[in-house]
Order: sequence, then structure tokens, then C-alpha cells
Amino acid sequence: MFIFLCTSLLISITSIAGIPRLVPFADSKIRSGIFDSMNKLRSDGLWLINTDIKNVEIKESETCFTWEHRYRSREHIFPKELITTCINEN
Amino acid sequence: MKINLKHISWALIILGIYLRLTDLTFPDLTTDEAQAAFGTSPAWTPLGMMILRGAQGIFGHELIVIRMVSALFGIAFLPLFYYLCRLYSDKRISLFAVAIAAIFPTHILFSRLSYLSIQLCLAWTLTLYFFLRARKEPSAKWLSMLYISSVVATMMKTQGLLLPVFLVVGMLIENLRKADRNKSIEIVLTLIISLIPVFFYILSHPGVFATVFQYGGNMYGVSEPGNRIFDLVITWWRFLSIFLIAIAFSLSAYRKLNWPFWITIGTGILTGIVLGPSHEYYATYLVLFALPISISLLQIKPIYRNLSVGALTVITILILAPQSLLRTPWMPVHYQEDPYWNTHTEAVNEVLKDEEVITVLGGPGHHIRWYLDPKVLVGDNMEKPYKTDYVLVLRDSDLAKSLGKIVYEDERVSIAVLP
Repeated sequence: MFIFLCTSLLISITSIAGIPRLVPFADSKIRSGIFDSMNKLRSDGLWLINTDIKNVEIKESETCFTWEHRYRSREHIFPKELITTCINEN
Repeated sequence: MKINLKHISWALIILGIYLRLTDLTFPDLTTDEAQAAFGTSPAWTPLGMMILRGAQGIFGHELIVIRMVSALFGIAFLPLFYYLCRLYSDKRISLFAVAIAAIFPTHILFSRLSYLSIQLCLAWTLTLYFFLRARKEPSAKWLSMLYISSVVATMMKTQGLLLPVFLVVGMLIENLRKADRNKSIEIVLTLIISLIPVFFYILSHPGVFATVFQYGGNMYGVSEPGNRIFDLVITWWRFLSIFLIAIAFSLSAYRKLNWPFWITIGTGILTGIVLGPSHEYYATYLVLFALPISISLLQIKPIYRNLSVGALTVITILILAPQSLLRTPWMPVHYQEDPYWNTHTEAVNEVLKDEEVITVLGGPGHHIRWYLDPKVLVGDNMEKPYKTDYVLVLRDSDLAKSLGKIVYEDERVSIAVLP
């Protein structure tokens, strides 16, 4: 059983390491803001499936979301680009 | 030579393998298949997609490569199913059950397409097999195999976690009634520990929750259960026809199989009901009914059994014969019609050869990124003016004409150059 437990935790290392970046989403303001942020990406014609949230920054009157966008086609995975969208809280 | 059940079984198994390898490159890639091929679905655990990416990395980014992965998983299911059946029955029944599984229409169909349901079907069957072995003899060997197969199932596709969870629940209910519970604790713990990676994966990947929230209450859920079950049966009937009658008939063998077997089938059915009854690929898991169907058919007179098997074989051929030999109204739509993208991509890409980025209107699916060379922006939610010189419009030539000068037009696609 101990070996199974160690193996499971080993497999989970990258997932566990990714948990801290999701901590800000405990805040309901940020959770609601992210949908507006996603709509902004959509209005730029991006495929949301190619984007991944990297950072959330709370400023005085707005919340900024930084996304990593990586376009994928049949043969290519294009270089990463960082896109920041800011949602005004007012 | 007298033809007996063994000969018939082997003939059906060979037919089933042949049908799984047929028409792999014929239909266009669908949007869900493309998500799997790109390895980008935020809602799925990664193993199924990693296998597809790995195959493409080795053999190239071709339709035959990603669909061959499914075909191989579909074929590999057959010997595994034999060993599973042997835990319940003798060699004769087991071989006959494999023959019925070999010609089971939804299992053949999704062995030809890359939806990952065929991979999960194999992983679930493997989990069930090792669960039954460990339950009989909870040695380190069988517990290890159970652990590995359960982790594989949960990481193959997110819904894969359902079977280990239900097996744990089943074990707990079963053991409430038993005095000696120690033997089962090891199995329960093994399954629970095997769920740790998927638990952390879901926790750290917001795409899984986002997808559940996006579709929860409409496609995902248990609302209007009557309609959901009705839709499910209609979908099954379209792809299984009289196999559905055989399934109903096979319920008479209920007592010959134990609860883990029925829990596995039930998990497959529940997945269909809860995650979208009109999604055909959830019918893949019904292949496990091949065992109760075989047990039931072997209880009737040989003449009726042979007639039934003949009818099931004819139906499978009418649904899934190679489209170059036969096209019938019972076939899935994408085998009845000529594909579009597999035959037009070259011409469309020739028009777009100097473009780095284009805008596409008309609800493009993910497969459009597979077929088109330039980067694609989804124009449906964009504000005008569009940022690209070329706009490709799906199924609306009038819209394309209103945008600019038409440089390409066929029955599906119009391309306009903006002024």
C-alpha cells in the first residue's frame, strides 16, 4: 500500500505544484471576472482551448488576468505568447 | 467438415477485426476527434491524448495514425474480453462472447474513430478484470495490476474515475453484510489510492470544472430524466438496431454475472445519461453486453441461436460495411456521404497559401485547425472590422459575398478577400 501511495503522489507532483496558481480563484470577484476576461479573448478570435491562465493580479480598480496562448495546428505548436486582459471592477 | 460454434465464432472474430480496420481515413475528422488529436481538451485527463500525440510524433500527423490507435485498442479489447469472460464461463461460451463483441456495432464504429471512448472501454475492462482477480485472491500481484489499471483508466479520460469510485462503493456495501472485512480493505484502499492522481489533476486544472459548469444543467446533468433515457435509447437504436433487442433478451442472464460486471455496464450507461445521451460514443461500453447475450443465446435451440447470430451479423454489415462496397441508409451519416475536408483541403489551402492568419465564420470546429494551413481566428464573436485579409465562411456564400471579393467557392466553403 505504501508503494501505491508513493507512486500516486509521484504521479501527482506536477498537479500539486500547479495548485498555488489557483488559490486566487477562492475569491468570488476573481471567479466572476475570469468569465469577462475569457469573453475578451473570444472577441479577439482566439480559441480558448489554446489558452491557459498563468497569473491573476489585483490592482486598485481592476483585476488583470495573464493568459498563455499557444496556437496548435496539425503539425505545429506555435511559440507561447502572453496576453493580459484587465477587467474594470466598476 | 461440420461447422460448429467454434468455427462460427472465429469467423465472426476475423470479420470484426477486418471491420475495425476498414474506412479509417474515409470520414472527415470531427471536432471532438481533433481535440483529442491536438491533445488540448481542458476537460480530459491527459493519458488518452498523450498516446495520440505520441503516435503522431512517431508516425506523423496523419488521419490514419490517430484512428489506427483506436483500431488497435479496439482489437486489443477482444483477447482481454476473452480472459474476462473466462472468469465467468467456460472456453466455449467465452469464445462465443468474444465473437459477439467482435461484431458489436458501436465497438466497431468507435474503433475506427478517435474519440478516446475505445481507449477508456479497454481501460475499464482491464480494471474490472484485475478487480475480479484481486477480489478472488488479494495478492500483491493482482493488487498491483488493479492499481495500475485503475490509474490508467482515471488518467485516460476524466470520466474514467467513475468505475473505480463505483467499485469502492460496491465493495463497501457488500462488506457491510460480511463478518470478515479485512480481505476487502486492501482492495478498497488500492482503488482509493489509485484515485489520488486524478483528484489532484482535477484540482489543479480549472478546465475540468469550467467544462462541468459550462455544460452543467443542460448537456450534463440529470434534468428531465425521461427525455434523457428516451434520447439514449433512440441513439442506441440508430447504431445498434436489433442488438438492442439482444441486450434486452440478455438480461435474463442477470443472475449468472456478479455485481462488479453489472456495475461496469451500469457505469457506461450512466455516463451516457449524465454526460449527453445524444453522444453516440458512450454506446461503446455496451459491448460488455456481449457476454450476457452469449450466455442467453447458448440457452436456446441451436437453430434459433444460429438464426439470431446470422441476423446480428447481417445488421452489423448493413451498418458498418466498407463504404466502397456498400452504402446503406442504416450506416452512420459520415459513411453515407462523401467527406468534404478530406477531399477539398488541398484546393482551399492553395487559395490561402500566402496567408499567415485568416478569420473563419460559421461556427468552425476544432478540426478546421487540423485541415487549414494558416492560423485560424474564430470570427463569430469578433467585432468588425476583421483583422485579416481573408475570411473563410462555412455554408453561407451570401455572407461571404457581402464581406468582399470571392476568390473561392464550393458547396461548403466560400473565401472572401476583404476590401
